[in-house]
Amino acid sequence: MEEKKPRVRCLNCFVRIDVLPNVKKITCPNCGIKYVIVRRGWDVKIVGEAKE
Amino acid sequence: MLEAKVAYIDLTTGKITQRPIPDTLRRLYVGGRGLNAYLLYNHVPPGTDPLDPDNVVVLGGGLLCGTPAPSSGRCHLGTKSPLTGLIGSTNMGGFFAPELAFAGFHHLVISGRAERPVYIYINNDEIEIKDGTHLWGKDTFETQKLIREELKNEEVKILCIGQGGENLVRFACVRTGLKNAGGRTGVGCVMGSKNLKAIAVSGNRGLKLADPERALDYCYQLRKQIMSTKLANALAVDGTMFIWNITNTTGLLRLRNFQENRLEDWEELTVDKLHENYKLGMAGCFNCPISCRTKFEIRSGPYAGIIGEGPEYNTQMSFINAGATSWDTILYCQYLCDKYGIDVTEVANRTAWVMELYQRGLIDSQITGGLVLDWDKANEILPLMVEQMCFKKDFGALLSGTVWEAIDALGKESEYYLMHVKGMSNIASDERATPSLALGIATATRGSDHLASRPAIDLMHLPEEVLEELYEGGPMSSDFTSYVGKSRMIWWSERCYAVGDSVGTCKTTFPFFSPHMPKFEEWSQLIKYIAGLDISPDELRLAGERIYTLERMFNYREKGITRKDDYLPERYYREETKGGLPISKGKKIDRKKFDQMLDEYYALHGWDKNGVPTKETLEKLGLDKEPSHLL
Repeated sequence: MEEKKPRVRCLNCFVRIDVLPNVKKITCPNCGIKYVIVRRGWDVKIVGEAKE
Repeated sequence: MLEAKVAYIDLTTGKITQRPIPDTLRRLYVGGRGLNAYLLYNHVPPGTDPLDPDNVVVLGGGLLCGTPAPSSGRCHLGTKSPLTGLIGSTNMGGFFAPELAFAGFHHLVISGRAERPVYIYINNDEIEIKDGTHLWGKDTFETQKLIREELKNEEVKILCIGQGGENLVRFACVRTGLKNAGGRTGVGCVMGSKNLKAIAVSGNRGLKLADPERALDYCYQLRKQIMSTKLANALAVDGTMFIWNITNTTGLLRLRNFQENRLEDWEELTVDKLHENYKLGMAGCFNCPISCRTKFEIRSGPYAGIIGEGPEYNTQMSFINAGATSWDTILYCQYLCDKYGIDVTEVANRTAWVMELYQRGLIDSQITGGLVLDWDKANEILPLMVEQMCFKKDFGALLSGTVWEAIDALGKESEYYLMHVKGMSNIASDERATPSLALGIATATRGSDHLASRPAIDLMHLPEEVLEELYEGGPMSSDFTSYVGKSRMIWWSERCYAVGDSVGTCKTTFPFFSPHMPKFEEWSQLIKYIAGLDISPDELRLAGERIYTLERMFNYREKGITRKDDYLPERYYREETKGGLPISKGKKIDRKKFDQMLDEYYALHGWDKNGVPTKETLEKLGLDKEPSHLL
C-alpha cells in the first residue's frame, strides 16, 4: 500500500503542496504565499500566513 | 412505526391534550423544523405580539430523533421571534429531544401564560405543570441541578432558561445540559414571558423501528460513510473551530466589527492553543459518531476553575471580532452567556458595534455610563457587557432589546455600522468575497443566518462537474468569488437543510462542508427502514421547498417580508475588504450582480420578482390550503 504523503492545499490558488518532514513553514510553488503549518500525527494543516 | 405524539399545553388554563401525528403531515413536513413551521403557521394568530400569551413555543424532535440514525439528537424550537418579529427558529443538540421521544412525544405546543413561574414535567405519557417559583432567578446550570434533585432523577433531561429569559432579553436562549443552546431568535425570551422556567422529561417507552435489521445495517453503513470524510475527523479533533484557521488566513472573518477581515496576530487564538492550554477532552450529543464538543477548563488567572463545553467556531470568531485577545476572555464570556441563557452572537456583535461607534465618536462615555469602549480594553469590557445586557443594567439595557430599539437609543447614524439582516445579528464571518455565503445570510428566513444554507463546500474549489452533480444542475463555478451558480447553491442548500432539520440529524452530517455526507437519498432510506414511511428523495426535495416556503409565508404574513428585506447591510456594497490572501482582498458585493442572484434565487423557489411565493407555487406545494388546522 502506498504511503500517504502529507499535503495541504494553498488557500489562495488551491494548488496542492507537499509538506516535507520537519518543516514548519511552506511556500506555495504556484502563487508564492507562505504558510505556517502544524502537524497532527501523519496529518498537517495550515494555521496561518507566515509573517515576513 | 414510530408512535410519537404532539402535546398541547396551555399554561393559562392548565389544559393538556395529546394527539397522534398523522402520516399525511409527515409526508408533507417530515417532523422537527418542518412540522414546527406548520404548527406555528396554524397556531400563532396573525399579528400576535411575540410576548403575548397567544404566541406559542413549539418544540420538535425530528422524525428520526432518538433512533439509531447517526447524530439524531437534534431538537428544534420555534416561536414568533421577539427579536425579529419573524419566524423564530433555533436548533440544538444534546439529549433532550431523544428523551422526549422515549417519553412518547415528538412535538410540544406551549401557549398561554402561567400566573406564577412553573416548569413542565413529562414522565412518559404523563404531563404535569409544576410550581417553579423556587427556580426563578436561578441560572441555567443551577436550574438543571435543582430539578434533578427535586425529581430525584439524575437522568432526567432538562431544557431551561436563565436570567436572560426571565428578564425578557430579546435574544435570550434556551439551554440543555452543560453545552447545548437553542441560541438564536429569542425563544428563551418567549418562555420567560410565559413564566415557563423549564421543561423536564424522563422517558423509557423506547421506540419501535419499522425494520430493525435493515435499519441497523443501514445506520452502520452511514456511520462509516460519515467517518470516512476528512471533515468528520477534523471535527472530532477540533470541533467546528477547525474552520477558523482557514477562514482567518484567507481573510473571511470580521474584525473590529467590520473594519478588518483578518486577524494578523492570530498565533494565540488558534484552536491548537486551546488544545494546549484548556482542553480536557471531547464529548458528543446523542448517537453521534463524530463528537465535536470540546470540554475545557480555565486553569489559571482570574477565571481559573471555569469548566465548560464548546466553544463553537462562531463563539471563537464572535468574541475575537469584538476585540477579545485571549482564550480566557472567549471561554469566560461563553460561560457567562451559557449560564445566563443569552445568545453569544447577539452579545458579541452588539458589543463590537458599540465599540466601533465609540471609536468613531458617535457615542461617548456619557452614553455608556462611564465605560471606555476602547478596543484594547475589550478583554475587560466583554464580560461586563454580558452582565449588563442580561440584567438590563446601565448601558447594557439599551442593547438588550431589538436592534431597532438600540438604533433609536444610539442615533440614526449608528445604523450603518450595525451588522444585521432583518433584525438578527450577523455572525462574525465576512461574506464580501463569497457571494454564495452573502446571498445565504441575506435571504434566510429567520434573519441573518448561516445555518439555513451555508454551502461551505463553495470554499473548497471542487471541480465544476462535482458541484453540478451535488447541486443538481448548473452552470456552477469552482471560484468562490464568482457569482455564477451561487443562487442554485443557496436554493438547493435551503431545501436540503430544511429536510435535514426535520429528519432531526446534525448539520455536521449534512452536505455543509463535505459533498459525501447524507442527503435526500440517504434520508429517504432511513425514513423507510426506521419509520416505515415510503417517502421518495423527490418527495423530500418537495418537502424542503414546502417547509422553506411556509417559513417565508409566515414572514410575509407577520411582517410583509419581500425582496426589499433580502439585502445585506450597506457596508457590504460600499467598503472593500482590506486584508487576507489575494483571492479575497479588495472585495465588496457587486449590487447589480447581487440583484441578479436574487432574481435567479426567487425563480428557483417559484417566487415572484418581489420574493413572494406565486399562486402556482403555493398550489404545487399544497400551501394554498394553509392554515389547514390538521394538527
